[in-house]
Amino acid sequence: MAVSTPDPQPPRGSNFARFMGVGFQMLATIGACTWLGLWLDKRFGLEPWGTVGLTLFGVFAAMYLVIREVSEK
Amino acid sequence: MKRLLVAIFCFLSVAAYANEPAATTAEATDKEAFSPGEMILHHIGDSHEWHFATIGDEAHGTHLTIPLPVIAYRPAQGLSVFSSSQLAEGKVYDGLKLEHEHLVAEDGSKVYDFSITKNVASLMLSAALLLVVFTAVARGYAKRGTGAPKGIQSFFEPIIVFIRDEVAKKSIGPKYERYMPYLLTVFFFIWFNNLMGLMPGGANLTGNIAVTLTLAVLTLLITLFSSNKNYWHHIFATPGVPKALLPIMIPVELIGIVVKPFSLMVRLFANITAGHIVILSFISLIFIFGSVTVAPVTLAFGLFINMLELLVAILQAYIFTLLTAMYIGGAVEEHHDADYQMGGGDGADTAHTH
Repeated sequence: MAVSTPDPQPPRGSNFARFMGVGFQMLATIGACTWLGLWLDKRFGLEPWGTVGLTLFGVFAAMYLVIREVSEK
Repeated sequence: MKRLLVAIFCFLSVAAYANEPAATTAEATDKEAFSPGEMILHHIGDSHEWHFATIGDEAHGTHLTIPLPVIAYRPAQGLSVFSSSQLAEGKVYDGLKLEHEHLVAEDGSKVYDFSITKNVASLMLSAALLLVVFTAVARGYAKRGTGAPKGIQSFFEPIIVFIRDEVAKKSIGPKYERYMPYLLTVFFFIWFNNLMGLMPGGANLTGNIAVTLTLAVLTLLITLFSSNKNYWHHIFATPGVPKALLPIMIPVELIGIVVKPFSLMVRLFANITAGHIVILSFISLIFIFGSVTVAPVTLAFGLFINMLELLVAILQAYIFTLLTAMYIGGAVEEHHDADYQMGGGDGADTAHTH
């Protein structure tokens, strides 16, 4: 929280919003990575390793981003 | 979930009216078969004309529509502007025709379609409405100052104050004032358009992914342009992460930047579109069963979902605004982990109370 904010209490509404956003955010992260993996496979003929690797990376990234999001502040 | 509900409902209804469909399917194949999927997609999609109702059947009945201007640009022929009624029912005009609401040239050449479609017309209408409403509100403040609000101003004042106090101040912090115009615009734009989409004959504007994409890109740009060095420091040198892991963490953080607005885009689009589909599905059930006896039940369900959508309309506007404010807040924040690597300074110690 910034210094000059008068009340030290955590914002009431924003937790709700943060968790509301988390689901779609995970979905979008994993989806974007999978799409990129599929595209790489098609482009460079790596089948199926691009998809496999990037999907797993997407799951990792989604988890990391969510954990960071909720443990901040 | 909603689809599941529809499926369960279909299943339950079949038992009660099992003797009916046999007769109606034979009847339906005589005439044009009713296709709920087609009807629903037509309803939630964009269109070159504004269709309200059809009296009589599809082929011979009267269509109550408002024709809209078609503006097409072809590199060879140049600009052509004409009414969409010229293209109605698959007609060809000036070498152009509509194929599944997609403007194509007969000779297959490239067409740039700048038409005022149903969604564009609805967007202009809502922009005009917002201007009328909020200039009235602003005039109220100019006239009465900080005195008691009157008329339409007193309806919107609590909402504006709520966005300022509960959304902007709490999520962004002391620099909230710069972002109030955007936050208020986004909130009222989404809310008004959600409600206009629920009106009979209204366009499904906020359920159009291009519209939500534009809003999300604006949020992304505002976040990026207002970001300070702490924000970028967090991304390229995340505190507490070993240097060896940075090649993995930097792409993850960069994905995070893009994914946040992306999830805003998909959330609004999916919620509004799903709501429209569920209501239309319930109404379609009457025609699927071809019986008026299911009407009380499906109408009750449809009305219930419709009331729910009134709530969803304001809720989605609120969530979009709140998340936008939180993303901006994350970008302008004077970060508390300044004391991890950058050696404290500018009040970091007093801020570090948790």
